[in-house]
Amino acid sequence: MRGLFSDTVQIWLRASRLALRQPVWVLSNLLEPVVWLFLFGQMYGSLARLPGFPTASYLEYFAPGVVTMTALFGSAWSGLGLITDIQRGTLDRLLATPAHRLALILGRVLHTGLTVAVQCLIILLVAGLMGAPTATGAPGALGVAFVAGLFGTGLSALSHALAVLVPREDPLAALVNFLSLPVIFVSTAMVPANFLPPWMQAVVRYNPVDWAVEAVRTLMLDGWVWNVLARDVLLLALLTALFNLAAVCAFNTRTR
Amino acid sequence: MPVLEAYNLVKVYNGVRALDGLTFEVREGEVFGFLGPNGAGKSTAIRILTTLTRPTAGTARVAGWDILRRPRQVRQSIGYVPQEVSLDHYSTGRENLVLFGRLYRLSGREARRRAAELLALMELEEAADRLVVTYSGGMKKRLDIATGLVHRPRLLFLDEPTTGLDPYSRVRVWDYIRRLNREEGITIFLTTHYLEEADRLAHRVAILDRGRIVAEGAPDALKDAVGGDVVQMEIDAEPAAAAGLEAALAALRGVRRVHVGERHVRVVTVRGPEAVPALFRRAEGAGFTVRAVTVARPSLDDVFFYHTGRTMAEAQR
Repeated sequence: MRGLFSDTVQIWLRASRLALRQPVWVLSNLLEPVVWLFLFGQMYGSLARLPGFPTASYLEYFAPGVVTMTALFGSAWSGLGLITDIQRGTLDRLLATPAHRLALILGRVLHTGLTVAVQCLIILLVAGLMGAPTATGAPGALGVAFVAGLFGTGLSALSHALAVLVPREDPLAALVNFLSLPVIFVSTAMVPANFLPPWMQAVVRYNPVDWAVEAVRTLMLDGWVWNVLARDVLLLALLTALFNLAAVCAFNTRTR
Repeated sequence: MPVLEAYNLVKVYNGVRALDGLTFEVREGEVFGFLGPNGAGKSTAIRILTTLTRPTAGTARVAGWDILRRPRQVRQSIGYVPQEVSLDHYSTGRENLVLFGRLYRLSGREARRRAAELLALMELEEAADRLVVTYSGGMKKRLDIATGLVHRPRLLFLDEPTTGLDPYSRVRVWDYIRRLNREEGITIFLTTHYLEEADRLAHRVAILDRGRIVAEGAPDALKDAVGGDVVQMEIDAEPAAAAGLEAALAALRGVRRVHVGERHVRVVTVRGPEAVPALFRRAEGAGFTVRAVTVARPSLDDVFFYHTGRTMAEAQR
């Protein structure tokens, strides 16, 4: 364990430094979720008038979905940065230092998770101004940021594992595209479960996107429902640990 | 005491023996050149010795540590500068150095002090706080080398340190490498496919061809071992007639190797100056016009040729 913490911090600092030096990255990351909130809120506004819809306005229902989608899209692509490092030889150079292997991954995925968490706090703020406040207040907002960050960290680790295994941009981009939209659609991010066809309702509860949506929505609409929150956070934590393990294994295949 | 000992390193990639049993050592304080054409196995060897790839068979001790059993200790004892500039282009030179200093377990203060020291050593002080994207090729390479030195390694691996540099930057990088070796006392292991680079920098070289070491020793000793001089004749030769000329010249007394190129013949022979008249007569007798003759001491190219039967240029193809 020696050095794991300090190495992780160094790699995290590096990732943050490189990201913050790209103003386009900063700006688009901050604005995109707000655009979603506005566009989707307008597009599907009439859904909320259907009988059986759980909330008074669609925005209230959809805000947790935007939080989760932001976490997903903010992290699913994060492996692309690793591909640049692989192609430049930077990864090999880092692997030739005594730095902890796990730190080389953790530093990067925590950067993604933290970015996503900050984005989500901004979404909550904007959603609140637009008429969809968080029921659990400021502590709940931090809870939402934690759930989104955890989810983002896990997905980012998966993205890194895939990046090492398919070390080229095009196939990774195709793979991320292929996976992202279906997992959003087969979830309650945009539409309540009772509006989905029966086979989807059966699948939804095994979809990690839905675990995150459910936890976020619970905090935003229902309050501190501990049994639901505990189950979702535990599942997400397990998944995150698993994907990080997968990423370490993928890294190790590089030094064969 | 050797700072690196390799025993019978073998690496097989998809059934191809990229390394076919390398055994050699690098001595403390020397510049050791690993010379060979592209594809000879240099990069594979350096990846194994820096713990980035596991050998199929054999092992090595680097700075006293076994590369397979104690990879982390090996990593802490060596510096590694890959062929391509592998630093963060959107960090400054100083930030790159401090990052690696920290990963090599220096404290924050030590890392910053060492970064300043290395920036001065590599004459990059003025550019220290500029983003690396703004650096010239030579500056990037110097920063890259500096990054391999943050933790004062016992052994520095430089993979093709001047590939892609312009001639002026190349000579400057050579100067820095010499200074590091002399003034900082760092043992340097460098791979190169430039004969001149190995000749100028290395105290000892190992010549690698097709995954095997064909010769190892000081450049001068290797040249002496060729056992003679090199006579080069500029000729007009038809490729078809080359074999006949080669046989005719090889039959002369004292001739050790003959190589017929498109516009020249290179002959390794004892007592080169005295051999010129006979070589000349043979070539003219075989119907070739000899336009010029030079006699020289063997170069490392001749050493390579002597041991492999091919010139480096041919082997590169």
